[in-house]
Parts: sequence; structure tokens; C-alpha cells
Amino acid sequence: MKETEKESGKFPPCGYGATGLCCSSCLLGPCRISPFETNSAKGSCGDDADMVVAKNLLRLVAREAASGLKDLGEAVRNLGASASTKGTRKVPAREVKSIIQKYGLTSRVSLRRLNSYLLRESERLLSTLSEPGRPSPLVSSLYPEGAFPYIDRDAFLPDSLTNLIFDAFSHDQNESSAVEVILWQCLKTSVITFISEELRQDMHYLTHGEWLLEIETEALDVVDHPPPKPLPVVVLFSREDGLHKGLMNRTAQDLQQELKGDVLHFRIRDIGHLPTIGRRFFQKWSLSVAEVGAIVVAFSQSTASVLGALACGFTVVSLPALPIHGSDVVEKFFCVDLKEKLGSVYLPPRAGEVLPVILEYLGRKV
Amino acid sequence: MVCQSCVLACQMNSLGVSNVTEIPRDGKPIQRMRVTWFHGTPWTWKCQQCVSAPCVEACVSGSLRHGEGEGGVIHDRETCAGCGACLLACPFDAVTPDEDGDRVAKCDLCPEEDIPPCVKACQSGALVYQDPMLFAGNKRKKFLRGQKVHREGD
Repeated sequence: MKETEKESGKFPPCGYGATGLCCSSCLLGPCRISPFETNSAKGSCGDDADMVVAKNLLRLVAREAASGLKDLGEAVRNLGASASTKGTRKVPAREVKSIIQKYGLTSRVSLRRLNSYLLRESERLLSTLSEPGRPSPLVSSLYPEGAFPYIDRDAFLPDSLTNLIFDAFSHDQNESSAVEVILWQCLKTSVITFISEELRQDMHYLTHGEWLLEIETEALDVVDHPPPKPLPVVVLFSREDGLHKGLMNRTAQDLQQELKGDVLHFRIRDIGHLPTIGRRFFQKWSLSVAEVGAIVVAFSQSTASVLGALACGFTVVSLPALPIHGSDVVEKFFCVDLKEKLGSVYLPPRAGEVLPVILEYLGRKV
Repeated sequence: MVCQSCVLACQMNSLGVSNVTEIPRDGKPIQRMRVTWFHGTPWTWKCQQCVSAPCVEACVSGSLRHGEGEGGVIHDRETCAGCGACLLACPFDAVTPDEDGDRVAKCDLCPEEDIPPCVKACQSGALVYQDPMLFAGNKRKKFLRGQKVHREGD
């Protein structure tokens, strides 16, 4: 992806967009509310600043989640076609076993039965006619209660991913939705991107015999062989071809110097690996990600990645910042209130820097 | 549509803020410019840095003066008496009372910046920071090129 002039910092980003106060959801807009306006300022539809920021966030997340669902649908079709015709490619038994274990199946299950189980449950997840109120066993096994206690408690795990997307769009259109309800919907919807990504990765492996994007060796070393005593964890995330990659490398070097080995830190290229990391730490330390105090530093434009990590219990600092600073209510929800409800908080960057924020969170001198 | 990006950039600069995450909740920025619809066209109400400036003539405390070289019209907030004579004199309605109402505020082209933040923030190119004579010359040349094409077309 080519870095645009705005992203390289030659031009400042649009202040209204960056604060979440620009709304272009109808043909009367775009409406822009100044962050310096009093509370009475409203868009042409009557939404105030809090509602504009919340709905903008929901639209961003729903768009990404819908795109993730499309990719998952394609992976399901490919696995189905491959399984019904010539059979799946030969895949190493060790990897198949680990996938079987991940989905909570008995180790005697054959590859053919694993495929048909994944296909059946994925089709249920993608269907709009799934039985409501019964979370998918696939999703429940990806998010075990021990590693992600808050996800279960707040009923984030859906019976149908497609219905959850429809819910998101319906909240966007519903004039009576409260700001907090929309913000919870944002978090729920963002989890869809994680679920679809992980399922897609596994199905791609079973279809083609190779990982779409393998977890980095450095990250795997850390999560497979962590020290016996739990340490704070810093996960740096940027896509391989993503923006701010140079900044991520510099931050990793600075972290190395500042923290001198008493914090575990590593990089990942795919945000879909975060639940795997959470599960592995729980297996080793019997602590949830929120209890470990794990921080994700996201150098990414993806709002769904940031909110999904928050929903999983990771504290997140991101660059660029989430577009939430145009509303006191929304900012407080993510930066303060979530701590009590999910055990995670969003930490906004300070003057475009993430390192001071990370150090302060870890209780180090800045 | 009036994008107002220049206005927000100007307000943030007046509060000494460069990042949206640092906008103070109780911040009262100085209004040095505003954009409104004027006869169906977006119009930037800001100081035109007049060469012969009526506000400078009207200023009783001498806080408005011409800058050196091409520095535009400078306003010294420390010596401003807040009499409001400049408000009445300005034909562009570009001088406004400041946040407390006891002095005035106007665009001074942000001398501490290489390029004024409003110009940096303008993504459409409607605001430019350039020598006015050079800008006018280029505009004239462009107009004449258009005329020539038009004549050849006839």
C-alpha cells in the first residue's frame, strides 16, 4: 500500500474526521460539528456530537466486519468444494491435531470429519436463520471463558455473524438507540473480524495445506516458551504492507532499550493472531489477557482491529488515534469505563507518540 | 459544502494544540477566521492583509500596524485597548472580539509557523500562502491562456 501524503504527515489529517465529528450518512451532509461547540450543536438529522461520533465508529467497524465475512464465506466455499471433489490437500497430522484441539474436538476425529464439522458450523455462523441465543460451538471454543472471561459475560459470542452485522446497521439507522448501546454494538461487531479471520486462516490451511499468514516465529517463541512467572506483554501490530511500519520498527527498538527484558514484547502482522496469543498465555499462566495486563500497540487504520482487541481484554494504544475525541461520552467509555467492564482500556497517543503512553501504563519513568 | 478544516486548524493553533487528542474540553479558541455561505459561494471571512489597511488607520492604541516587508497587518494583543474601532473600519468583517470580549482578534498569518495551519489544513487548494503579486500574475497568465484558446477556437 502506498503511503499517501496525509499519512506521511506532509498534510495534517482532517480534524473533523480525526475527532469523529464529520457525518456523511445522508445526502444533506456532510455535517461537521466543531469540537469547540456547546452541547447543543447538532447535525441536520438532529444527532448531537456524541451520537455522531458513536455512529461513525459503528459504520467503520461494520464495514470492516462485513468485508471479513465475505472472505470467510469464500474460504467456506473453497473448503466445501475441495472436500466434496478431490478431498483436501495432504496436511501434516501435527497441524491437523492442533486445529482439532483448538475447536474442542476429540483427538480421534478424522480430517474428513473435522472438515465437515467446520463447514456445518461455519454455514450456521454465516446463515441469517440460525437459532438465536445459542452461541456457535466454534466461537465458544475460540474464546474459552478462562482466557476471555469478559467476552462470555457480556454475551459477545453470536449465533450468527451475519445477523450481528445486520444488528449493527439497524442500530445505525435506529433513531432511538442510546450512545452506550451503539458503543457496545461496536465492540460486539469488531469481534466478528477476529472470528472470521481465525476461521478463514484454518480453513485456508485445510484447503491448501499452507497458512495464509503464519504467526511470526518471534511471537511464537514468546507465547510458547514464556517465563514461568507472568510478565507484562506488549504486542506490536502492523500489517506487512501496512502504514507506519518504520514507526513500528523504531518503537520496537525503543521498547527494547527502555524495558530491558522485564516486559515480553513481539510483533505480529495479522490481528487475527491475538486470540491465539490470549489462549496460549492462559494455558501457560492461567491468567486472562486482561489479568496479564497485555497491551496491543496497533499501527493501523483498522478501527475493527483496535476495538476487537479491546473487546478481547487487551489494553490498546493505536496510531492513528481512534476517532473518538470529539465526544466526552465516547472518549470516557473507551478510556475509562471499559476498565471496569472488560478489564481493558484505550490509551490515546500523546502528541503522535505511543512510547510515552506505553511506558506510563507500565509504570515506568517517561 | 463548507469543510471548515481551516477554521478548526486555526482554532487549535490559537490554543497551542497540534493534535486532536489534545483538544482541551473547556478550550475557548480565538476566532481569527470563519467560513460561511455568501451569495451561494463559500466565503472565508479572514483578514485580507490590506496594503492600505483601514483598521490600521482606525486603531487608536497603535496595536495594529503593517508588518515589515510583506508581513501583512500585525496585531499586538498586549497593547490592544479593545475599543472596537477596527471592527467598524474593516470592510471584510475580518476583525472579531476575542474570547473575553475585551480585545479584538484577527488573522496575523501565524508568523511562528512556516505555513499558516489553515493553509496546511486546506485540502482543496482554496487557501494558498504566496506572494500576492506572484499569485495575481499567475492568475492573469492563466486567464490570458484561456482567452487565446478561445480566440483560436473561433
